[in-house]
Amino acid sequence: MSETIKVSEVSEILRMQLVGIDTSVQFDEVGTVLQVSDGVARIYGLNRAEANELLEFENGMKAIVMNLEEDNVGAVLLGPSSSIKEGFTVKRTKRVASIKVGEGLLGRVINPLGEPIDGKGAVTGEKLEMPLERKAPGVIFRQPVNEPLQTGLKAIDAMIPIGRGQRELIIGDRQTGKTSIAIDTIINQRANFEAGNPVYCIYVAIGQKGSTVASIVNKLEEHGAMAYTVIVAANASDPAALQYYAPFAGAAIGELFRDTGRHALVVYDDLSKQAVAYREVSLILRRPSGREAYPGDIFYLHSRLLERAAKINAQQEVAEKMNDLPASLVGRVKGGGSLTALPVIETQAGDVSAYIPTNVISITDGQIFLDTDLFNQGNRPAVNVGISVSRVGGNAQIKPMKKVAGTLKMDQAQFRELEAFTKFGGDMDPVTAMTIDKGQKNSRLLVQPLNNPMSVEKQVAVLYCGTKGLLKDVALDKVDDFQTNFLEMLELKYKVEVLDVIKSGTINDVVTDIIEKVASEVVKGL
Amino acid sequence: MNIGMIPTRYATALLSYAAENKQDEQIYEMAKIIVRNFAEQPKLRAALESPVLNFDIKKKLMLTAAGSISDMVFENFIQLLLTNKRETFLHFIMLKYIDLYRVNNNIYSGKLITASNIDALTEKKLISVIESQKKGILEIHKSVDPELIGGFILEVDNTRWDASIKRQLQTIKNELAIY
Repeated sequence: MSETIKVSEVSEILRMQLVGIDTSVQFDEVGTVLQVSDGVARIYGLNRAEANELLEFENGMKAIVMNLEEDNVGAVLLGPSSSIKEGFTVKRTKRVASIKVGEGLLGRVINPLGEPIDGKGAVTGEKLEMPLERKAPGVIFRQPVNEPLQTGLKAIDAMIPIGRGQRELIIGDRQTGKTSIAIDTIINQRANFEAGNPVYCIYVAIGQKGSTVASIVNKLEEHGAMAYTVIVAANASDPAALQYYAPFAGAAIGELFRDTGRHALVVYDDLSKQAVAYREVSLILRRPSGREAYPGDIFYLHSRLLERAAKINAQQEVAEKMNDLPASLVGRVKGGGSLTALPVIETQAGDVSAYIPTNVISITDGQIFLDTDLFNQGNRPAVNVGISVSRVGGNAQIKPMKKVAGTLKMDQAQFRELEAFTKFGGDMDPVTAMTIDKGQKNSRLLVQPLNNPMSVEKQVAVLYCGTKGLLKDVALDKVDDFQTNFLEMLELKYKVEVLDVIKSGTINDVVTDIIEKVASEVVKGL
Repeated sequence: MNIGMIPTRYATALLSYAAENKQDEQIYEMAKIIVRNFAEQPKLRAALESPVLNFDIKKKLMLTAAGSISDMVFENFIQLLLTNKRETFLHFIMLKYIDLYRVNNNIYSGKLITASNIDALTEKKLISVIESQKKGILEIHKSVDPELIGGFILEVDNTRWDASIKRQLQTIKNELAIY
């Protein structure tokens, strides 16, 4: 036990806390633990317990009711099994599992119960109780996605654009850069935060190593991203029930921002591990198993989670009537907010036709597929543009980007087809050679270093050079130098005339003329 | 998912069979002994679930857990369980039997736990609180638990009225938990 006095131990604060505690006698409905093992307790009694109700053991630990059977209740423990013994008394709390959410969570690392695990003390500020399980907004409370969420990655913002309120799956084998895409997206929101229009980010780490989560926290802190980010961690050593509920906790936090007119991004890394945790809990509860031993409602698990990501109707009078509004949000609802979801799924040997990947692909509004071969060839982010798609598409792009990158996907697809033939050798006609050359240089342009997101105006400028063939006289190994020098010159000499204009949503002949002029100067310099 | 349905069916059958043979009360007492033994001897469940132990050993174990009382109805029941390979459900079956027997005979259970021995008058007052909740035959179980520090706990079936000092201190501890 630490002997250091903590801030919250000031006498006055303790006195206020004591005043707030209700120790009056109440009638509780109780049951007795018959059996506990592997994170699940079977409880005798509790005849009136309800599904998903929160239960409390005599030592303060919580559990959630998952099975209601004729003569016992099966509950998943939200803590270690070793602290619960047979014969323990457990009582109903008569409320569903919820998490206390507030602005004080920003910059903190918490567990799915809302308890901080970063050693920085209690979470401060006003907190609202948000249920972990909640119905998604109905159709009339939504509006189409029409605002971009910039990831800062050229390959994604140009060809697979993501909008606010969209669900875009990041799918690929192990070590292909899935988490890196999510982290870069979070880092890229810093500009919005500094401009006063933050996109609050929630990163949900499910079943990961503690060291991995720690390094992610460090990375976000280095880039100043923790100021607007909450990390919810259910590590590999945590009970399966916590890993199962972690994404719901992340969604509950995101819903606070969404329903109060603000924008939020939630990353679920990764849902494959949540599915495995749910399978474990279901099998221990002896629920019937289906394909690959997953329970029959594994699809519903992901669909009800991902449906909570939405773009809310901007009309206040409509948004206020949102279905299934928690009591804590009544009177605080504002329209126009959004919750964007980036779920991550790990495939085995590139098999996107496996059970869980196909389930989640069918739920989401598009997927970013990361290829191991591309990664090993040095194309990072290793996005396989051919099978990646965003079902929101151009609606999630600013006009300049739509104009510039409109043909990029097709050009790259053509290039990949022709590239296969070059391996056979032989002569090529000039058009084919030009297409291949342009494709190779565009591929090089799309390569981006780790944790180095690029603003959308710079992306537009760079991609304009690529798509308009301004790099035809640049050697392939000089493309990176070209990009660096080009952006430097634009930043130094033409920030207002070019970058700020593009950022405002315009691209005209004046802008394109300057871009072409700068590009030819840089090419000459190389 | 079948854990609830299976014990209910066996318990219903046992109650019916025992009632026909006028042994239902005896089986009720044996069921209470078995439930107590399961709580006190966690290895009993593990032994019944073990695939290594044979039929005879498990039969002897179950009869011993029932208090080694010779009863034809119970022995036949054990035989049925072992034949159908449902011996692992014995605990749940006995609990369900107790429930069904109590409903049939209008019995309800109460528990009075005090921090120290109390005088007869106080005890009578507390028990009358339980009796005022329900009509029927009250089965009261009284015990002393110094860990309560002070106060008492009253339970009627599955409802508990916890007026102990221990609970109040635990509430304060849970609320003031410093992370």
